[in-house]
Amino acid sequence: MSFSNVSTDNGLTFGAATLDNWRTLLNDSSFWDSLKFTILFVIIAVTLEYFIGFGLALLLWRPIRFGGFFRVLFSIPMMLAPVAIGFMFRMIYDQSNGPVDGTLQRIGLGQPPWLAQPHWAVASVIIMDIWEWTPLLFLLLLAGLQALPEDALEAAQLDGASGFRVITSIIFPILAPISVMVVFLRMVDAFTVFGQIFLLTGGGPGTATTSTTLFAFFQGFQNFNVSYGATIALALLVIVTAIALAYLATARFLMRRIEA
Amino acid sequence: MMKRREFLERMAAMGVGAMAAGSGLTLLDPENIAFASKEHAGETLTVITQSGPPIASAVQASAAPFKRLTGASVKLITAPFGELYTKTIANFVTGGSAYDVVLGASTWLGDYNPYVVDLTSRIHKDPSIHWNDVIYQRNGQWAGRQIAMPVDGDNQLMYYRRDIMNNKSLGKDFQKKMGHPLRPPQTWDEFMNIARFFGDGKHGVRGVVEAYRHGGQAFWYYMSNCVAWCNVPGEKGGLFFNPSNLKPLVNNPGHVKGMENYAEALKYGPPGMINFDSNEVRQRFAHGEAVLGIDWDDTPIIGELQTGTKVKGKIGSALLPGTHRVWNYRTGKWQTMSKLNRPAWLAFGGWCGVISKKAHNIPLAYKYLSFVASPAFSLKMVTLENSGMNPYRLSHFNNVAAWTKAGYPEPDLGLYLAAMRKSDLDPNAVQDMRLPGAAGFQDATEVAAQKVASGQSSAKSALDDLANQWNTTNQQKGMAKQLKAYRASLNLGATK
Repeated sequence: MSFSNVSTDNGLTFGAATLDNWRTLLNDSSFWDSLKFTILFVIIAVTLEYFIGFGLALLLWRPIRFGGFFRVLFSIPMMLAPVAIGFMFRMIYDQSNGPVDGTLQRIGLGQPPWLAQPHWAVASVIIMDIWEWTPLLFLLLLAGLQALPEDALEAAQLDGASGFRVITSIIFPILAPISVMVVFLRMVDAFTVFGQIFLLTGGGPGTATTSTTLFAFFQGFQNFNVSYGATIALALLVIVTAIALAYLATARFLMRRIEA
Repeated sequence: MMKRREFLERMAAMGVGAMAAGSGLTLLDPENIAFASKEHAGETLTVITQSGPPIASAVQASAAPFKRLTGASVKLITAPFGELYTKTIANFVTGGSAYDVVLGASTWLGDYNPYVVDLTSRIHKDPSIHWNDVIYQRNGQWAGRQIAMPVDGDNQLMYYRRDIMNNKSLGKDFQKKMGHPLRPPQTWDEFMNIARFFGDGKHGVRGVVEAYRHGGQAFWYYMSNCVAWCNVPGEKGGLFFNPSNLKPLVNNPGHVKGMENYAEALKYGPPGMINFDSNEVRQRFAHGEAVLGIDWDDTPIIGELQTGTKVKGKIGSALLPGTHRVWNYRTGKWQTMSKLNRPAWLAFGGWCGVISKKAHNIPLAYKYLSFVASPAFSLKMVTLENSGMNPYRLSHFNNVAAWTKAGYPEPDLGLYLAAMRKSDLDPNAVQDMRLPGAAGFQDATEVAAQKVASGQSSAKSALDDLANQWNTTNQQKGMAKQLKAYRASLNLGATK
């Protein structure tokens, strides 16, 4: 489809084979802007999700009071539908009636323009994604922690290692393979973010939060430029595959160094 | 000779019709009572329109009386406005038969045209529709054929708080600060000054409320800011494309001026206004949050009739503000006007109903549209708050008693009906964009307007990009075909 010119003027009709869509894509600043936003979003959101998830897993790793309750509580966001999350955060960020701005205003911290200014909107989208997906990383890392060999930890404690040292020198390296995997899964998934942003900001203000998938949707299904929408989707597949392969190669290299 | 059974059925039908007419819910016309044969019992008609309350609530209100008349059930499917075009055109293009009737925008008819039934002869044979009473006939036409049934009339107008305009103390402060009296604005300069004066919210109310949300009908609000700067009275096509060659006009100085006003007005509205859609504009105005509002005809009726409104009896209505100079796209110069240029702007062109060629029962689908557009049912809808349907028949304006009975207070009612009537009957009224791909042009405009409003781009730069996008879309769709469609939409002949 991306190598053709599909017309929707009278049913679906395919034109002759052409590279026009790909030429347009390379010169389309809107596409590159959407890709820049998507990559920035993936890097910041997934990094923060990993560290917050790791922190929560450490907190709930050892038996504590109400530990089971908190595990369930922390897991709820990822079970909600993206549509519900988009609407919920739209209400939360509402500048006139939302609870966040109301509270901030009462304590004299003003009204952040959550969805009104480009940088704030990007931050708002990232916060929403962190809220939704940190539980996934938390659960997988918690499972990894529970499988840690107790003897290595006991030996470190007998040697008088501090808690920080135990985390950085023992827990973190042992969890490295599972960390690589969970970050990989989350990263690939984050590249396709759509529903939540569509509902929260509609890709705006302007194009500040238009992810590449959203851009493909607008082109393919709102402007009915079906061929170009398909081209964007295909380009994203190629780019995500390349980034994923580069990530796995880097991770393998780093893990070899850790093992050495 | 009429059989006994047939006679009894007719009598029963007339009884139902009389009851329904008494409740003001349905047809008063004897021809339509003939529908009440229940010959469609057990059948279901699938209707899609935008998520409610506007429009969807009217479909819901029509379901019970229509079932009483025909026996057929109405199944309503809704989509948010930003997705309605996508959903319906995807169904058409892929040959689907998911919907029998689509209540959509008049501006989309260029895209719907190949997939919908020509209603011309059905309408002309249907005396119950009282066709001569319908002002918006043209908005359901494409290439000389009536392919859609108008069920709504649409103008974008300006609304103002009468109580604030008449407040002597505020008037004194305003005069001192702005150098002219506080009054319903006649020009865009006056409009912006009022917005600025109240913009900080220190008087307990903000300056202005308009829609800016991408996918929230922001295109039409932006165009409202431009229309007086771009349209020389009587000159066709000044708002969108040059009708001689289809060159986009969206980046000319008239549009730049309109865009600058639209972007500046964002500062003077309630916080977060950049995410307001048309529904939110109406609710905010009804809650007394702004002195000025721009919207279709829905804002006042919601403000006057909705439970809990804070502005009942305080709403003035008028044509959009005007200008003393207009960008003449033919001469490429600003033209000074001898009198204020205040064009009527038939934004959106009204909701209208089309019948899919793949509809399961086309005669039943037509009966439904005939019912919804009938004088009695439509009068009931246009006098209801939040039905989303606004006057589109002469009888809607003439039947003042229906409005009074619905609870609309004077003098607001007089101002409201006069503003709409003036707009609808203006021979120089500016028509909305109607050509294939209209939804794409509208979508790109909303993105550009948000870029300017949020400070990501200057007005000129965003509009230059937009003009390129519009041009590319026309090239992809075929310049000659698009030019022909655009000229037809303006009632102009073919180019030489």
